[in-house]
Amino acid sequence: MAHLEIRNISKSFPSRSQPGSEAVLRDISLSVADGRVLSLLGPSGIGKTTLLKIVCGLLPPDEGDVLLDGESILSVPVERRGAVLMFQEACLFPHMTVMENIAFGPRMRSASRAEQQRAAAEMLALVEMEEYSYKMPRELSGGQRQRVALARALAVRPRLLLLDEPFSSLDTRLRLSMRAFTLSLQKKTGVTTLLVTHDWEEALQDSDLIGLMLDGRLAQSGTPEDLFSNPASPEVANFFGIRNYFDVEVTGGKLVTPFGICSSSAPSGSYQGMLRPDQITLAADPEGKGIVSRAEYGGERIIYRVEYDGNELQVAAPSDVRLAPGGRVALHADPERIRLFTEEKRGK
Amino acid sequence: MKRGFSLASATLFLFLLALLLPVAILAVWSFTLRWPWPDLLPRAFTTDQWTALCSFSGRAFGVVGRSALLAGCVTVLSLLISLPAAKALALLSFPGKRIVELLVLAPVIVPPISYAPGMHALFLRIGIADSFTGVLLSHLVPCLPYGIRILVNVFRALGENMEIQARVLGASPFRAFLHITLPLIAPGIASAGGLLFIVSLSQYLLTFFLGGGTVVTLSLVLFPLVKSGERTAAAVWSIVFILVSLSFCLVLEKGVKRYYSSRETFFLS
Repeated sequence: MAHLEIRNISKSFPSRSQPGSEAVLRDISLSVADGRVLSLLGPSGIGKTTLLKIVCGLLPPDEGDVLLDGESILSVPVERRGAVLMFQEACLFPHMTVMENIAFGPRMRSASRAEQQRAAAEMLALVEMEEYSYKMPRELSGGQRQRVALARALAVRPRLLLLDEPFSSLDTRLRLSMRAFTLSLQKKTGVTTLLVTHDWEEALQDSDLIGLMLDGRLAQSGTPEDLFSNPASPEVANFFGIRNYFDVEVTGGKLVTPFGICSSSAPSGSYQGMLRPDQITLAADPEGKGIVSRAEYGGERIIYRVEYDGNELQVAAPSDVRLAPGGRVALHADPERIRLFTEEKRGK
Repeated sequence: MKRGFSLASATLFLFLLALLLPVAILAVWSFTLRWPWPDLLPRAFTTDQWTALCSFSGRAFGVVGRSALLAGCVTVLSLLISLPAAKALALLSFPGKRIVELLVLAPVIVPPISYAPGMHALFLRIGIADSFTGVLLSHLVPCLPYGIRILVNVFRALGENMEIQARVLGASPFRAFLHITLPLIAPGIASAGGLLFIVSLSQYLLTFFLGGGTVVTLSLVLFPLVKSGERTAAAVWSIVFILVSLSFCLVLEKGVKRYYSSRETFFLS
């Protein structure tokens, strides 16, 4: 178990389309405490997997350092880093039984046969697969293979568990249960975990910390609450699906918004204000300034798109509030909760 | 019950016929003394060539043994060179990869006659002309393209994730290859090996040039017989040729199959 620190990692690859090289990772710094889960969140193809490969030693970084418990591990070869990478697919060795698969790690560490057996049996019990010891991987279902892969990874007592889009090859229901199962094992074993995902809901639910990567850079890192409630930039907010922007003005310490006026410490000027859909409430009001343009039913709640002051705002309402498109509504929000972004940083 | 006409079984039958008929004719020829045109069957039979083969057993065994040893060495050496080359071509990207891929295929496109004399001159200078070693090295030229081509596909099918998985679980590069990659690509290696063996066994020109006639292999015995029209003797040696290559392929097949009978086999199995 270990405290992981990623310091100023940069990496570029030779470009296919033009001469020179393309930066994939730019100056990434992250740190995760012993036993915690850090999610690397970001759109596909943004270098998250490259960062994982650097951490486990499959790729050398161009610049920067990776430290485990304060010691640089860059010169430690892959097989001795104790950082186990798990892919999207289970990648079980097809020519070995379940037992042999799990015992592979201990076997490579020259454990005695009895030790290998004991470790494998223990891990099989941990993933509740005891009765499958002598099955071949092809005889198992997708979920069972993932369990065995997890047992195989944990059997080497890794200092770091690196999960690259785990379980995304499984169907939704199975993925949810595998996620819950993996997290419970993570808590039980206390292994520091790095999770790569493009699914922000998964990241919000599963991690202690999130590093959001956009365009090869670390856009923001912090707790899930931090990122969701206090996005550092419109790009971060956009990634979480929030697109509610409107013009606001700060004059002499006063913030003037369509939702009212409050005091503000920001320097005077015009800004883009942002609110999450759940921070706005709406009520049918023939005198209201908003016009409902669309309603998207989402089970527990309805997302209304409302034309308001020349902006289209999304408003989340409980699903028992039914309003017809074209109806007039009044919007309410606490102006204190509005996030301000300078004009030119507004996202698309 | 009526046997339905099936296109598949008819095709299979024709295919088998096309394969077996020439061999059957070869077998008949090997016992023929006189077979004048236009007779359907030979007029007189003989076992002379077969007894000659057996009584000259020293020479025959020498030729068969030398051929098998040569082809075996070429196969092993080609595989040893092809494995890392194919892995690099399949899984790595590096500048000039396309050119390397093209150059690797070049020996198949360029006829041996165009490079055999030059090679002979070079081998004379370094003192391995007219020797087993020289012939062995020359056979690598037509063999490597096949070995690399087949194994590139095998490595592509396997991908790199299995080996990476083994590495992160604590296996050194060598042990990851030995315990994971090698067993998984064994069927592919067997396929490549069978083909390489046959390519080496069939080399007449290179063996003749680089061996200077001193390294007598099956091809070297067979070719003059066919050329001078000694059909009965040629038929006998052809059958020996077929038996040698067939038994090598059978041994390979059986070996791989037995080793993996209870296991998962895939990738060109």
